[in-house]
Formats: sequence, structure tokens, C-alpha cells
Amino acid sequence: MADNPLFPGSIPRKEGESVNPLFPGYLEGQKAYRPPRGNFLSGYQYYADYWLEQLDQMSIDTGNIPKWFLDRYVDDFKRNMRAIYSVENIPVEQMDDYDQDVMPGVTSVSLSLDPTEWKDPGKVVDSTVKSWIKAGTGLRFKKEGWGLESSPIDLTDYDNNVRTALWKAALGIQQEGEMSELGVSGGRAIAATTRAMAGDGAQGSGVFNFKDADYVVSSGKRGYQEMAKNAVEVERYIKAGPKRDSKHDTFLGALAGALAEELDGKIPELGESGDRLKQGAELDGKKAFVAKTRKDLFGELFEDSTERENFKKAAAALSAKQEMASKMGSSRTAIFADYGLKGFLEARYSGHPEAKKRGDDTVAESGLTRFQDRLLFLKTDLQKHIGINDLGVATGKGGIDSISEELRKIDLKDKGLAVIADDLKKSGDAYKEYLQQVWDALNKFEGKEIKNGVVKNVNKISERELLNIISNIKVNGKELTGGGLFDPSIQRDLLRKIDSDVTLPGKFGKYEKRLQIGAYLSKLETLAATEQDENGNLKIAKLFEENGLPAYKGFFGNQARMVASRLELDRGSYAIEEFYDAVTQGKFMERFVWNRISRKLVGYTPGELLQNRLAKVGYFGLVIDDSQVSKKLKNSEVFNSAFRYKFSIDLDGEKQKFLGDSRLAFIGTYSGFLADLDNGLSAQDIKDILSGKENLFDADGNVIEKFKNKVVGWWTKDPYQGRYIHRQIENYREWLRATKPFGIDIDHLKEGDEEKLFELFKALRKEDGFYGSLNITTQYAGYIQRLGMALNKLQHKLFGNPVFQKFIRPALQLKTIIAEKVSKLTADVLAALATKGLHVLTGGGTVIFDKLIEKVLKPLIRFITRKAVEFSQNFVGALAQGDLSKAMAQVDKEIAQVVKFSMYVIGIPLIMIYILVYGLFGTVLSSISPIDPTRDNGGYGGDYAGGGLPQGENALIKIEKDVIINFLSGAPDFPLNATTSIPNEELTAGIQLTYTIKITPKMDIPDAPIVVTDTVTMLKDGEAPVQGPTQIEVAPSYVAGITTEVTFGPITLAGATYEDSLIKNKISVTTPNFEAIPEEEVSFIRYVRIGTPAIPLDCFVFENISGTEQPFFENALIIISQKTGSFLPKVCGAAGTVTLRRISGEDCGRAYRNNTITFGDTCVSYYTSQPKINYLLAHELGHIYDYRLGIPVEFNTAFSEGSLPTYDYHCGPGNDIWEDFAETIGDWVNINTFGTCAGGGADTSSEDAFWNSYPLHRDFIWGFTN
Amino acid sequence: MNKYFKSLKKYYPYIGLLIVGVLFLSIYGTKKPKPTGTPATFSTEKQKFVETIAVDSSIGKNLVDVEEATPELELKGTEALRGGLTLSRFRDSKNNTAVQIITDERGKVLSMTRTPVSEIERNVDDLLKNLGLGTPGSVMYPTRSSIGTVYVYPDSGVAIVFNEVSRGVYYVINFEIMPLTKFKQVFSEQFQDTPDETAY
Repeated sequence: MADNPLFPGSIPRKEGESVNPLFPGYLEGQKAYRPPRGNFLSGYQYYADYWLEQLDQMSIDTGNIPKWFLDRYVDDFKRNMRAIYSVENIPVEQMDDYDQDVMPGVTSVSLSLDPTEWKDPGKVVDSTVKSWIKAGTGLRFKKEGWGLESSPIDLTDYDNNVRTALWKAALGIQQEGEMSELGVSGGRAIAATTRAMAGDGAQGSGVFNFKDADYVVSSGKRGYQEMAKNAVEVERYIKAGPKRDSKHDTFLGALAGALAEELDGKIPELGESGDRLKQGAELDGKKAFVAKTRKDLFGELFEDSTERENFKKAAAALSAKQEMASKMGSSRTAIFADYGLKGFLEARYSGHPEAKKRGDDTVAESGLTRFQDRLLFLKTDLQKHIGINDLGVATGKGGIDSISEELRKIDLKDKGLAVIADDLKKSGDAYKEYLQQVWDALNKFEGKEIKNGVVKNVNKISERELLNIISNIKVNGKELTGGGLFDPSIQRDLLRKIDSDVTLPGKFGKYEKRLQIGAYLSKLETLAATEQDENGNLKIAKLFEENGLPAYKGFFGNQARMVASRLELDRGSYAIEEFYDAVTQGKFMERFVWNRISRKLVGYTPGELLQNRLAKVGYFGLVIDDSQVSKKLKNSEVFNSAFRYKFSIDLDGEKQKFLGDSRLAFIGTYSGFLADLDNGLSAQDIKDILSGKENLFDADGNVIEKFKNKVVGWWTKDPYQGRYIHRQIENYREWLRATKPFGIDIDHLKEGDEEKLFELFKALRKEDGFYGSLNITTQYAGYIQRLGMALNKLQHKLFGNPVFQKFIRPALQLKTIIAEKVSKLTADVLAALATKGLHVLTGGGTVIFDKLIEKVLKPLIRFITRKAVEFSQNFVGALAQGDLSKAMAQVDKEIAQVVKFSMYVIGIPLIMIYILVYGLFGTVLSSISPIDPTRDNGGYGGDYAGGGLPQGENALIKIEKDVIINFLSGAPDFPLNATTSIPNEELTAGIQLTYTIKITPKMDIPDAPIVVTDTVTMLKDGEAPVQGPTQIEVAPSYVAGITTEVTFGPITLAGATYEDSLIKNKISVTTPNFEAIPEEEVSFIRYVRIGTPAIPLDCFVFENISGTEQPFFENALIIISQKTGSFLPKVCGAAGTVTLRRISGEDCGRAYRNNTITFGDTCVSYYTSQPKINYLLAHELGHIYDYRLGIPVEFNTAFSEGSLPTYDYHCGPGNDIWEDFAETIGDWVNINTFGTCAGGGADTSSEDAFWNSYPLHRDFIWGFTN
Repeated sequence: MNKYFKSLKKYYPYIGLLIVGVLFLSIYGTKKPKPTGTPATFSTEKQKFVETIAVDSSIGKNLVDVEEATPELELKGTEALRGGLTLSRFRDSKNNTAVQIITDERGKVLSMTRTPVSEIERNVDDLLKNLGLGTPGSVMYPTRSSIGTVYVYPDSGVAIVFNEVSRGVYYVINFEIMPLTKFKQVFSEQFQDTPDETAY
């Protein structure tokens, strides 16, 4: 584009220059744009290179995107050239059936098929074998050679499983009686931390008791138990990016469902017999419900009628939102489940041989093919939801709209309710829009375009296109479900709103707190447990009984709230960690940009295409996909003997082997839909179904009458699913007939066979669900798959041995317990401080900050805490191995990463300002420092009064001073506060110094006059007065914010007296004792340089040194300067200023690198004793000299006579050379007789006597200082 | 025969692993980490550092013999170290350098420490370049001080103490080639693994 004449700012193409055909906008050979150079402020200690370096390290290569994209594309291809066998994590249920003691890690085994990698076969084999050994035994090898890593066994997965088991205990899913002692502790610790995080440390102890809750939700399962299981899943996947968020969505859905059922579950009518009908039952062909729901019962617990009404509205709001979110999930499933539209479409465009799979078989009633029937069914359903007819005209009766409208109708006058209904409607509109697009796509598939009653004929789209369109539908950039780190979906948005309603009521301003259910949960819990009727029974229990509900088991909503709070916090902090890792590992572009791009290319990325190809050839026998095996191969004996998958079942000691068979699919389906139902099929029912005595579904796919009450769930409404499962049951029976396992013949059942059948069924379920083997429906297994399974079994054996049980598992449990307790404490304290602090600062108005605290600060604190805990684990681990340098390297690594991360997040705005200013204006603004925009860098300052405030400031007052320098010779004036030296020649005519002082009180203090003292001195050979001290009353009292200006001078200086000197002006104010702030002297010092002063006091920056100690330090510098000749000027001239900083803590004087000396409390007596501070400061400055210029070579000779014996840390000779050098200078200024060496045995009767004992040292220092 | 193979089938993965392992190890063997490279001016049989002054070649000899052969060495003091070792401080009056020699119980010289005597020796980067030394085997720090860094090359018998900001060399150390752990034992009172934060 750059040479397009129509483009503004275009540069005409020069002759001979070619244009890169791939990127027409890029001119080869064109120079990169460089911003214009600006004026650098002189004397400015700032380097732009530093920032540029840091930018480089941030690994963003924005100038190279096209190539980068290509790299990724190729990489995607290469990455898929692997044969992989990987195992899903052990499902939560598994850990129940399974022995608690044996929980091996999860393994993934792979082999590279990339020919370019195999060019170095040694390397490939080396790494592959090591990874396989790790899969089998958990041993970790170093990358080079065959040594083991310092932590030889990889316990990460094991650790995760231990932690997950503790979470199960915490939520009450695992019985405490079945756990070890530490297991019990762990569960309780997690529960306690969770409560504390929700701010309810007082209520409840021990683990959560969700297993007692018997409320049943629409899937037919117990709502709170499903929620608890989902919560464990969230914690298990908490570190795993996309899975974490989708598991969290599932949890939120389950939470909303359980809570809505508990608080707003419908109370059924009486049946014919006078009994209350069970949920799902029908009366006169309609579902038997009344308008009464449980919220009416719970509402009775509130005394105040307004509160009661608000609670009921809040419960209704929750139900409405939950219903909408749940519907979204169902829509998704209806389209994308295996028996949904997707299954048919995929079978059709890939030309699946079975007509049934393609949906080409005919439906008896309608005469349509099953696929057409499915499409029609879907369209009708969509229309009902959206509220349109076949012609796309609105009916006004849309299912989605009715949800928000019903909510609004509860009280049309309630504005707060209207806000919620409006917001819900917005979600509903987005949802409708999504369904509308699906409907449009289905129409296009039929060759029609329907808008507002008008039908147009268009070209039909293919099945593949239809699937692609449906897979990529977005409304305002959002998908319906799922989503990524920065782009949540419509459903996720809604679920998170529900989450906020439950966990953070009143925090986000939009909704009124009274209409958010979370505001009531804690109180309800208390009321439900304490409110009694006249007879002393629990009021709520009586209400339940009276309304025919099952016995009241307790209030669970509040506990659920606490769990949700904790999970949200964890999720947030791990999301931050994910971002942090992405930045620090340079994976940002990859994770967040490439992933989004590649999702768009579903079906077209090279990796996928490659996978398809390789799958067709079964990855050369390594990994086999059953659906790709041709009929010919299936019939081949050789193929079968090599690859046929077998598994064995053990029934009461009798073992039998079976071939993997697709007819066993019912086993898996049972686990998914029919197991764990609250009022599910009994053992006898199952036996009857399996043996064929009874059917579960009729031919149309509807549940038969006998089981209608037992098999509930929204999925039963879709007859396609019923037919699907019915077919599976028939296939299973066929398998039984064909194989006659363990001698069972279902057509001729003998005594005890039914029981055996049931046991077989259970055993098959266990084998199918076992993580360590393939599904029992698998027919063919490749070699990598078999290897993977074998290695899994090996690891299983190794990790099951007593060593792990006795030592390692408890250690890991303990680790989790400690981590929980630490993070609980830290999170509590920090969050409380932060909240309190902010409350104080903002005077209570924290509405804006609440969001910040909850959504950013708390997760961030948790993240930092976790990083600290992890870091200390690594650090301690490294220490334990005795490898200290590794531990220190860990520190550096962590610090570097944190700095990088912080810079990225925090620094970018500052950098942008800088670049903008520098780039656009070409100059560096003199008074803005990108490091600290508030710091004035002009001139060298004096002392700092009080902790941390710049000079001239304390809590009560602020002094600012400027100096103007005029030359009586007529030479142009120096700029304000210049730090450059005034040439001595100007003193002939003379110079004038004018000081302008601004004083601003910060508080109102009546009857306290502000008196300013001004003193001008000259530093040449010591300090000599020039003018003052002058005292002026500037104001009669302190009035906050009012600035008074005073001018001192002009002070005229002329003559040689002032040559090569420093003119020091000190202004001070003594602030009075006021409200716990003690009386204090605040001063502001400015220096003016003339010539080359011998006492470069302006080279020293005093930090945090009190008014009492300051003069001693200054005098010390003067004395050192007088005694050591050019030593100080050399130190100062070699690099910038030297900071002298007073710190607390046990330290004396310490030189840091080449520009800082700290003075700690150990030598506090030195700081008000002139001889002592003279020595100490001189000694430390000796180190600074060493850092800046190195020890002079001549000192080696002095050192050879043995070191001076006065150094506190090494009394006597034999000291190190760098200490001896510093000590020599120190002793030259003031012999160290007062330290721990007390002279070190040398003759300290006089200076001469001392130095005569060390003639070489004496010779050196004499030469050095003259 | 078939039966035999059948019963072996379940071990195929392990056998495969074994074969692969044997093949691999027989072809490539086990790898030893490579040494860091030989310095240019080394004479390996005598383990000398830089032959600038006489005392540089004292390693491995008996201290008594060294003192006899180098009359310019003036003994300034001795100190007993841990493990039966002795530290002797000398002044080399000819070269005006301070020399420290550590000997074992039998008086054999294990190490010699001195201040730099040549221009190249005074700058750590120049010195390392000149000797062809790269990444040190270990980085240590002087005890009782927060200043100074020590680069140790146990495979070459060389250590250098320097200031990491000014790059000036404080000491050059020549020692009998020994494993790093032994070096740390010998110099346990002079050097440690982390900077001494308590010293000032």
C-alpha cells in the first residue's frame, strides 16, 4: 500500500525497486522508520537502551506477522506427525470404586513420525525412550545423558490426584471413615479455607455435607451431589486453561440448578390417592404442578414482609436466569451431540457406509428419512424457542422471551426487578439471534431464504458447509457456549452473572442487592436452623411436611455459595497465572492469537488434514481408529491377530477374555444417563431389561409406562435419544446371545444366571470406565496404544507399593494442607487490609473499588500467594538437595519473570506515553521522567525528612525552592536550578543568586506561625558562612493548600574567595507538634557549583537520615575531603551520585555496587560521633572507589606487608585485599580504635606510631591522597 | 510353537522396549558431559597457571622445598585450617605481592593465591580470554564479605576472585586439580556458595 498513490503518506516507487508479490504493501529495500532524535537532558541518569532491551525481551514480533503465521502453520503440521496414546484423567467416580491407596499418575505415550526429526535418530530414540520410561515408572531423566533429574520421580499427576481426593472429602463426597487421618485433616482444611474465603469462618465446621441433600434436578440426579462432583472437577482441572473454564461453566450450571431447585422447586399437587405426586409425574395428561414453590415455604421464615417479598423475587430471578442458561446448554446439545444434527451431517459428508448413521432410513409415520425428520423436528423446536412461525413471522409467544417476561410480571411496578428482567432479556435476545442464525442456515440447506414471511429460492449449501456455518455462528463476536480467556460466550456470561448474584450480591452496582439471592443465603441458613414453631419443632421442617415434600434435610444453599466463592477466586487467579505464563514464556501470541485463528479454520488446518490421512492408515499400525478400518481388513486374519483388542473380565475368580465390541456401547451410555438417578432403576429392573424380559423404551423411543417415574431427565423428551439407546440395548442383548459369556444364555436362563448377568454388567461397567484400558467398544488397538496401556499398568503397580502409601502420599497430603492454610491466612489478611485501606481512603465509597477488589485484587493476591508458596517449595527443594546456586538461580528467574510480567501489564501505558512524546514531538520533555513522572530531577538535592517523602516535605508542610543564577558580566543566565558548574571567571564581575521559596501547608493549624530560616554557606575548605541565618515569618498560621512565596536575595558573590567552591543554601521550617506528629525540622538544600569544588557535597544524596544525624554525615564528608585530596572528586567523577541511606535493621555500613551506601542500626552510635562516622564513611567510600575504578595497582605492594589489623570483621593481619584497601582509607581519616578489634593490637598511641608500623601502607596512602 | 508365541504376546511392548534400548545403547553408548575446553597457556603435566613469577610453579611440591627454592618469600604468618590444612602467608619481596599457600598435613602445596602481577591479570575478562576459560564450574563468594565473586575451574586448577562491577581481579589462585567438592572443603574458610549478607 505504501506506493499506492491514493494512500495518504504514500512514497512513490523508485525505479528498479521490486514489490514483493505476496505482500503488495511492502517495499523491499525500504528503510525502517526511525523516529527523529530529540534533545537529551544533560546530567540525566536515564538510558533509553534499557527500555528497548526490555521490549525486545517481550517476544512480540509484530513487524513480522505474515512470516510468523506461516511458521505456525507449518508447526501445526509438524506437531501432528505423532502417534499418541493419551489417557483422560481418572473420572471422579473412579476414585470411589478404586482403592484410595492406589492412584498412579496419568500417562501419555507418543512416537514421532516426523522424518526431519528422524534425521537425528539417536536424539529421537533417546528422548522417546526416556519419555516411555517416565510413563511406566515416573522416573525423570536429564535431557543430556542418562542421569536422573535431581527430583527423580515425577509426582505432579500423583500430587494432583491426592489433592483432588482431599477435595472430595472436603465436599462430603468421600466418607471420612474411609480415609486416612491426614486425608480427613486435608478435607477439613480445605473446607475451612473455603469458608474463610467466603467471609463466613464462624459458621460451620468440618466438611461440607452435600451428600445429605436430596433435591433432584431436571436430569433426574441429585442436584447438590452433581454440583459437588463438578466442583471437584473444577479444582482438578484448575491449572488446565480451556478445560478449567468449561468445567467451571458446568459447575455453575449445576450450582444454579441445585440452588434453584432448593429455593424455587415446584410443589406438586395431590394425586388421586391423596398423596403428593412425585416430580415429573403427570395428572390428567399435564405435569402436576401448582404455582406454589419452595420459595413460598422459605419465605415464611422471614418476619418482615418486605424482606419476604424481596427474597421471593430474588429466588424467582435466580430461577429465570438458571432456566435460560440451562436452555442454552440444551440447544447446544441438540445440535452438536452425537445423536444431534452434527452426527448425521458428519456421517453424510464423509460418506459413511451405514444408512442408519446417515439417517437415510425411513421414519414409518411421516415417510420422511430420519435425517429429514430430524431437521424438521429441530426447526420446529427452534421456532418455538424464538417465537416465529414457518415463515419467520413473529408469533409473540417465544419460549425465550417468556422467561424474562414472566419474571417482569411478578411485579410490574418494581423498577429493580425491571432492570434484571431487561438484562435477562438482553441475554435472551442474543440467544434468540443465535438460534435464528441456525434456523437461517437450515433454510439455506433446503435452498430457501426466509425473511419476514417472504420466501426466496437460493442455492443449496452442502452438508459440510452447513456444519461449518453452524460451528462458527457468533453473536456480537460471542459463541453460545464455551469461550476463551478474553472472549466469554453468551451462556458463560449469564452463568457468571448468576455466580455474582450468589457470591457477590450488591457489589457491582447494576442490580439491587435485595434482588440478588446471595444476600439471603447466610440469613436463611441461620433462620432455617433456629426458627421454631409453638411445639418446638423446626418451622421449616413442619412446612415441608405439611406440603407433602420429603423430609427436610438441612439448608445447603449457603454452603454452595461458599464453594462457589472459593472456586471463582481460584479460577480468577489461575487465569491470571495463565496470562502470566503466556507472557513470561513468550507464548502469548501462540495461545491467544493462533488459537483463535485456528479455530476459524476448522476442517482446514494442516494438522487436521494430516491427522485424517494418518488415521486412515492407522498411523502405520501404531494408533488405530476403528472407524477407519476397512471391511477388507476387518476380515483379514493377519490383521486381526495383530491388532484385535481384547480385555478380560473376572467374575468370582473365573476369568474370561472378550474381544472389544461396538455392541457393548450400552455400557457407556448407562453410566452417562441412567446411573446415579435419584429414583433410578433397581437391580431387578436392570436384570429384567438386560435379559430381555422388559424393554426400557418403546419402538418410538419413548420411555415405557412402567419406568416413567424412574427414568427422568430432559433428554427423555427427545425420542431420537430414546431410539438411540433402545438400539444400543438391543445390540447388547445380541452380543450376549452371540458370546454367551460365562455360560449365560439369555434365552434359556438357569438358576443364578440373572444374578450373574447383573454382576457381569457391573464388571463390564468397571472395565469400560477404567482409565488404564481402552473402552470395551474398541475393536482394534495399535502398538502405541498397547504400549501405553502396559506402561500405565506398570506405573500403577509401582505407585501402589507400600512406600508410596506410607511416605509419599502423606507428604503430598501435608503439602496441600499447608498450602491451604498459608493461602488462607495470607488471603484473609491482605484482602482485609486492602479492603479496609481502601475504605478509609475513599471515605467508605467503595462501590467502584469493590469490583476491583473482588475481580482483580483478590485473585491477584491469591495468585501471588500461590507463586510465593510454589517458589518457596522450589527454593526449599533446591536447598534440600544442597544445590544452593540452583536455589539462587531460582530467585533470579522468578524475579526476572515477575518484573517482566509487571512491566508488561503495568509498564505499557508508561512506555506508550514515552514513545508518543518522543516519537511525535521529537524531544524529551524535561520534567517528565518515564520512571517516575512525579519526581523532579533537576539539581542535586539535600536531605530527606521523614520516611519516604522527598526533601522539604513532611506530613504537615511542603517546601519547594528554586534558584536563579544571573551573571553580572552580562553572560546569558543559567536555566532555573542549573547543576552545571559556573566558570570561575564569572566571579570577576560577580554572580547573583536569587532563591524563590514556595511554602504550602498541608493541614490547618491555627495559631501556629510559619517561620522560615535561611542560611547560605560556602563549602571549600570546610564550611564557611556567606549569609544568614535569616529568619522570616512567612504566614501567621497553617492554612491547608495556601501557598506563600518568598524571595531571598539576590545574594552577590564576587572575587576569588568563591573559586572552586560549593554554595549551599539551606531553608528550614520547624513544624509544631500536631496530633501525634512530633515537632520536626524540615529543610530543603540547594547547591550551586563554582569551578571544581574540592568538597563535592552535591555528589551525595542523603536519604532517610534524620535531622540529628545529618550534620555529622555532612561534616564527615568535609573532613574526608580535606584529608584525602582528590579521592572524593575521583569517586564522584567516575560515575553519578552516591546515595547515603539510613536503614533499619542489623547492619552497620554496607556499600552496594557502585552507587549506594546504607547505614543500619548496628552502628547507630557512630552516626552522632564525628570520629566514628568519619572512619566509617571513609571506609565505605573506599569500597565505592573500588567498584567504580578498581583498587589501584600500587596497593598490591602495601598489601604484601600484611593487612591492617583494625577491620572489625577480621582483626589482625590476613584480611582480604579489598577490605584492606577500604580500611586503609578509613584509618587514614580516623584510626579505627573503637570497633571490635580495638586497634587490633597495633600501636595506636599516636597516628605516627600506627602508620610507622605499616610503612608500605603509609607510603601508599600518602601518594594516593596527594 | 504358536502357543509359545501366544503366551508371549502380552510381553510384546516390553520386548520392544528392550530391543530398542539395547540397540540404542549399543550404537550410541552413554554420554559423558563434555569438559569446558582447555585453556591456551596450560602445561598439563605440571598444572601451572600463568608462569609469571616463581611461586606459580609451587603446586604439588613440598612447601619446605618451595621456600628453599624461592628465597624472596618472607613468611608473615600461619594459620591452621579445618581438616589438618595449613594456610601460610608470605610476602614476595621481589614482586611485591602477597602470597597465600595452603598445604596438607604432609606439607604438600595444594593451592597458591596471589594478587595479579601483569596487566592482563588485572582485568578478569582479559584474563579469562587469554586463558581460554569460559563458564566456570562453580561460582562462589568470599566469606566474611559482601564484595567479590569467585569463578572456580576445578578441571583446570584455576580460580579467580574479582569485582564484578569494576572487573578488577583481586586474586589469582592456582590449585592442584581436584573435584569441586574437595575444592570447597579446602577453601571452606575462604569461600562459600552464597554471598555473605551479614558481612559489611
